Amino acid sequence: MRDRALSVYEVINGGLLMSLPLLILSWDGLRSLAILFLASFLLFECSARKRSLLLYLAVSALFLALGFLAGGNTRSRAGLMAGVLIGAFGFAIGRWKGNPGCFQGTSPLFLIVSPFWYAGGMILKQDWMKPRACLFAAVYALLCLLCGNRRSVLKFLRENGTLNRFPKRALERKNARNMAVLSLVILLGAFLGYQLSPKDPAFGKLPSVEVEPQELEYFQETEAPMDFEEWFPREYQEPPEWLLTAEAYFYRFMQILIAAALLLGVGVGVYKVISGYRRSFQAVAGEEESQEEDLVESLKQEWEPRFWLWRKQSEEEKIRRYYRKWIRRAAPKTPRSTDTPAEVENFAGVRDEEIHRLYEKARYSGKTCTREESGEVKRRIT
Amino acid sequence: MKLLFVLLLVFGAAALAEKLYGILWSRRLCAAVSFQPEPAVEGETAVLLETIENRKRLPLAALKVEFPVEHGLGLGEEENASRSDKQYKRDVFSVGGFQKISREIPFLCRRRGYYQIDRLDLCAEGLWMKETYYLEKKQDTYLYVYPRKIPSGRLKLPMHEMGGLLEQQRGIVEDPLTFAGIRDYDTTDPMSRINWKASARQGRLMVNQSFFSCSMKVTCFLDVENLTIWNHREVHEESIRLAASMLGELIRQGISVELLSNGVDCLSGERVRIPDGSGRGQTEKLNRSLSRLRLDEKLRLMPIRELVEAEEKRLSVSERLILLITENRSRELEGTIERLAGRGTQALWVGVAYRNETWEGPKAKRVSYVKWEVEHEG
Repeated sequence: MRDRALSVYEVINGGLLMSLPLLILSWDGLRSLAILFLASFLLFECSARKRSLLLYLAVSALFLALGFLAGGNTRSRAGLMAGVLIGAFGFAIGRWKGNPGCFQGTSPLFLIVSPFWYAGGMILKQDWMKPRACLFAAVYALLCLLCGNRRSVLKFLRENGTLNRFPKRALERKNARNMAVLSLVILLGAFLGYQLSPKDPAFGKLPSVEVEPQELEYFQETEAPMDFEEWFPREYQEPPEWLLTAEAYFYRFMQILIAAALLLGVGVGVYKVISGYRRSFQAVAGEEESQEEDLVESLKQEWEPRFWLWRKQSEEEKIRRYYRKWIRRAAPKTPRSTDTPAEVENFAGVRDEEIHRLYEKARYSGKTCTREESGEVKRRIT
Repeated sequence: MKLLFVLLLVFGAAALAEKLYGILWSRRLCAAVSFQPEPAVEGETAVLLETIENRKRLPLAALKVEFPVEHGLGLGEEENASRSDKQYKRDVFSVGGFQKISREIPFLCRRRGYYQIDRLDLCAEGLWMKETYYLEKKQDTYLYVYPRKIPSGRLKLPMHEMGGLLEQQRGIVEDPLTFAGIRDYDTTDPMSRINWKASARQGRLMVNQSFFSCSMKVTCFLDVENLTIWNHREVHEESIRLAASMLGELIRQGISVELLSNGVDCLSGERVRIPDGSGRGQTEKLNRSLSRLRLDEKLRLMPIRELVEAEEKRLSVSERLILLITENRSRELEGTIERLAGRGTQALWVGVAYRNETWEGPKAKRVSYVKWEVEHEG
């Protein structure tokens, strides 16, 4: 039985390796990347489920054609088709060797691509290649660590799975949480490294090439300003400055909003696909939740704020506060601290049996008071 | 080079995280294993409690708890145990931050004995599940598994014999300060013994009964010596059960009992010896001593005959009944018991043997004999 998490890592590994030509040669947008990852997923499924060679070749041919059609220019077409060919070849090797990953799965050896890529950027004086090489290296290194971790978890589960009350799901959940936190930290660090690298001047555009200024022989400077009135209608007027500024800000705001919505939509979509895949896998595998018979208690202490103003008062403290307020309101001066409640009430000239009883319960009995009792005291003194 | 920096960052962060985990995983981590507080009985189920407390934020995804325990405790599922000279029990926990997990494991007490757990091994998998970290924690928990009580139906014969011998040993002088019950009036009873209230209730004359002035004492000799090269473990275990059951019954009847054995206590290393006593405390003392009695074929035990001879002088002057539980059938032992019985004490010889062995018992006078059969376990 295949492991779901490991399958996802293999698909990502295949997608990353297949997208290398595209990242090196050109960049055609997320659409090309999506096509390559989809190709990786289908080729992995064909390889893992040991489908017929004919189907495998059909899928490869389909994505080759798709790559050709989807590419915006020659470079992107070449990148897409090269990526599909790499994937087809890689997954075929994996299937032949019995390990259905692209070139048999993740291997830190593929990190060797990054220094060559980086060196290529240095030699060709193409600064945009350097941050891409760094990004690829960071993401692939993280993938190798996560894949290695998953394999170790599976090995541990296999060795200990027959133990009584083995906490399989809790173990996998905690490990996944640990990996998520670590991946975030490592990616942030890699992002920092990426930021320190020279910035990509035009991500998505053609690489910047130095152009020597050329003088146009037929161009002659004139002293008179050029008249464009014949090109623009007379009734055209420039909008006011504030409108242009507002339009610029609004445009920027919409850009950010749409980008965030797109990212959120992609994230939710990926999550839904994976969880749907997992549910269908579970339904087939018939996995049952193991019975949790262990007694699990939390040792987390409730945080008690030190400053009295933020601390939530207990009902007994509320009753005492209301009582103090009642006495101070009625008494001519502050009663002595050594007096008993009866003496204090006598001094203040007030009398209420219920308040007296509840105050004594809150102050001396050591029992807890209810919210109704503190509410009753509050109601009586107002 | 920036690429090197990024790669160092990724792998360095992973290695640093692993290092930190290796240092911090065992801090504020408490692990304990304890048996149930009350003693168990052979053949019944007892409970072992494992507790893990993680008083820090760092979770432990996979924590393995192992401890060795003696054979004789069937710890539930065999998959969690590996056998060698001892039985190693393994359990895996997945503990979150600030979490306490308590696990109760029921197990069958297959054999009587004194079981102790003095060590707990913790093995934690590293953050990336590649490294394994170890920690040993001292424990101090023990469990007494008492010998199984023999069914009362089967115990009837030797207790009946015992009862008869005890009656013979009683004196004829009654203790007027004790109250043993009420019975019907007999013409030989004096009028001072009549209980008028009971007579009015019953409608006929009733008299008080008193206990006898002589308090009975029983000395039990328990023999667990192997007479041949074979280890008759089943015979000795049955002898121990028989001693526990019979003496327990005698204590329940208010009779003072004493136990002397050539078996060795697993804790003190000395021969098991329980002085005279009665009551619940004596029963507890008896059960605990018999639980701690070690049957080890490598030990050279004192022959039971020598033990009896050592006590002969003391026993012959006191009014007591001798109970001998043994597999031994030697003539020397027969002679010793006969000599002891000839000085006024009564003796009951319970011969424990396998079912197919035939022996008619000792031919000594004033020595009663009961054969106790044991089934082969193998």
